[in-house]
Amino acid sequence: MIDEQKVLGLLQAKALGCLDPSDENMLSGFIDGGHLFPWDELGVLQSVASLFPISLPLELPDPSLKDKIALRLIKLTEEIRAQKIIEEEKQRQSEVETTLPQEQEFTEEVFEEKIEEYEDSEEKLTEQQSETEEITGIITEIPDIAEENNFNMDVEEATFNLDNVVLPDYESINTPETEFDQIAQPGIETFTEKPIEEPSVEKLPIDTVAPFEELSTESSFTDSAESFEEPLTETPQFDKTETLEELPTETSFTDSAESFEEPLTETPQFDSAETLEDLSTETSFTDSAESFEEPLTETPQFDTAKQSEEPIIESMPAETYTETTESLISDHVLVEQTETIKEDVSEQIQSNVVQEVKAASEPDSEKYPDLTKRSVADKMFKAIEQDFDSLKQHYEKSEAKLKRGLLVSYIVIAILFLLLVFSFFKLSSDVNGLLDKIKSMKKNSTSSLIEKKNINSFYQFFC
Amino acid sequence: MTTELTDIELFKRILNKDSKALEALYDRYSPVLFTFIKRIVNDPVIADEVLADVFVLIWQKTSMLNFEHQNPYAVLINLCRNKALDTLRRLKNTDLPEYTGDYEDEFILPKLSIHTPPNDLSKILLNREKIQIAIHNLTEAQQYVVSLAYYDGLTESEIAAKLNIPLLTVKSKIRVALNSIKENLAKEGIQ
Repeated sequence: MIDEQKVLGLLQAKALGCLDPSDENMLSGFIDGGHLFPWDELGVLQSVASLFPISLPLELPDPSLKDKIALRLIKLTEEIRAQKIIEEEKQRQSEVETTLPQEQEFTEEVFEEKIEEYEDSEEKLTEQQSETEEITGIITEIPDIAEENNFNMDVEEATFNLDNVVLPDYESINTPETEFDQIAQPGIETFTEKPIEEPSVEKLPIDTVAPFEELSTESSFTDSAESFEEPLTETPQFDKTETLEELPTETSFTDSAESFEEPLTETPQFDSAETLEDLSTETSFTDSAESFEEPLTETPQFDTAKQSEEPIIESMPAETYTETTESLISDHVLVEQTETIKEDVSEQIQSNVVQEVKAASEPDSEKYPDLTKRSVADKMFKAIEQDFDSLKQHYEKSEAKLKRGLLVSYIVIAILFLLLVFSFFKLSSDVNGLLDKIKSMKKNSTSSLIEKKNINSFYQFFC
Repeated sequence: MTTELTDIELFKRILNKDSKALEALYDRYSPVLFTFIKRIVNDPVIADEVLADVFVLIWQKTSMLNFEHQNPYAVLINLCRNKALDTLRRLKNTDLPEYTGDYEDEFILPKLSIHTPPNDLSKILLNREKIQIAIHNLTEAQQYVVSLAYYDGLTESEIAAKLNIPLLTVKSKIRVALNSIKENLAKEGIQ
C-alpha cells in the first residue's frame, strides 16, 4: 500500500518533472490502483512550475526564424499532399484489383475444353458460309447502308499532323523560310567569299584577248594608249635612227629621213584610236617621205589593231610605192625594219598589257586601304594616341607655366610684404630715434616753446 | 484580428489549420519560449531550432494537446521543456530511444492535470514582477535545486549525486520551494 502522504510528497517533484523512475512507477501504480489521486494539487503545482520561465530576462529569437518555420510548414503540407495522393492512387489500384475477376488456373483440362470449343466454332463457321452463299441478297444490302452513312474519309488524307490542322478564328503564321535563307546566306558569303577573293583573279585569262578587248574598248583605252606612248615613241626612234644612218644618203631619202624623223616627234599625236583611223584612211601617201609615216603610224595600230576593223595591209595603198624605184628599195628596207619594230613593239605591248592586267587583277586592298585591317586600325590608333600625347604635353606645359607664374607672383608678393614690414620697422625706429633726439634736444634747448609745438604736431601725426 | 484573440482561441484556429493563428501565437509566445529554451540548451542557434520544432509540432499535433484545463501557457511551457531537454540529451549522446512519432506523443507532448488552473500569457505578464519576487524569496539552495531540476532536467537522485547531498534533502528542498512559491502566489491571487 502506498501512503497518500507519500504521494503528496511526490507531487512537487512530479510537477517539476524531476521524479526518479522508481517514484514515477510508484505513482503510476497508485493512479492505476484506483486510489483517489490529488489531480487538483498536481495541477496547481504544474501551473506554479510553469511560471518559472517568466522570471527570466526575455530575449528575442532570430527574426528569420519565422520565415524558416513558414518554409518548413509549406514543405510539410506539400509532403502531406503527396502522401495523400499516393495513398489515393494505392486505394484506387486496390479497388480495381478487387473488381477484376480472378484468373482461372490454366490446366490441361481447360486446354482440352478450349480445343473442343474451337473445333465446334470451326464447324459452325463452315455451316454459316454455306448459309451466306444461299442468302446473297442480305450481303448486297450491306454496302448500301455504308453509302447512306456518307462517311467518306480517306485513309491517306487522315492525319494527326497538327501542322495541317487549321483552327477556327486562327490565322496561321507562315514561317519565313525564304527570309531565313536570305538572312543566312550573306553571312555565309562573307565567310566563304573572303578566301576566294584571290583565286577570282585567276579567272581573268591573261593570254586571251577578251580581257584586253574589254580594257581597250572601255574608257580605259585612252589610258592604255597613253601608257603605250612611251614604248611607241622610244623604241621606233632608236631602231629607225640607226637604220636610217646605215641607209644610203640620197636626197630623196634624206628628205624622207627628215620627214621620217618629224613624225617620230609627232607620235604623241596618236593618243586615240580615232586619230589612227583618220590617219590610215585620210593619208594619201603622195610623197615617199610621207609613206614612212605609215609604219610609225602603224605601230600604234598594233595597239589598236584588235579594235580597228581594217587590216594594216589594206590601210597601206600600193599606189604610193610606184612613184620611184629608189623609194621602193628604201621601202623594202624600211618594211623589214618596220616589221622588226612591229615585233618589238608587239612584244613590249604584250608585256605591258600583261603587267597592266596583273596590276588590275591585284586586289583592291593595295590601291585602297582596307579599314577593317588590323594594320590600318593600329595606325589610326597610334595617330589618336599621338594626338592625345600632344594634348597631354600641351596641357602639362601650360600647367607648368601657370605654376611658375603663381610661384613668381607669390615670391613677389612676399618680397613686397617683407619690404613693407622692413620699411615700417625702419620708419618706426627712425621715429623713435628722432623722438629720443628731440628729447635730448629739449633738455639742452633754450627756446623750449617753439620746439614744444613742433614735437606735439609730430607726435600727433604718428599717434 | 488574430492578435485580439485569446490563446485558447488561437489554438482552436490552429486546429483548423489557420496559419495566421499560428503566426499570431508565434509573435505572442516566441520571446518567452525562446528565453526558456535558451536557458535549457545554452545555445541561441539550438534554441532557434528547438523553437521551430515546437511550432511545427504545434501545427501538426494540436489535436493531441489537451486544453480542457484552459491553460495553454502551461502546455506550451511544458512542451518546450520536454523538447529542449530531449534535444539536449540527444546532443550529449545519452542513450535514448529513437525519435519517432510515438516517442513524441509519449515523452514530448505534455501531460498536464485536467485540473490545472486556467491561465493566459497576458495575465501572467501582468503579474510578472510578483512571480519574480515569489521565486527570489526562495533560498539560494532552494533556487539552485529547483533550477537543476527544472532547467537542467535532472532527477532528484541526480541532483543529490551532483551536489553530494542526501536524496531526502533534495526532495525536501524541492517540496518546500514549490509549496512556498504556491503559497506566496496564492496570497497575491495568482495561481
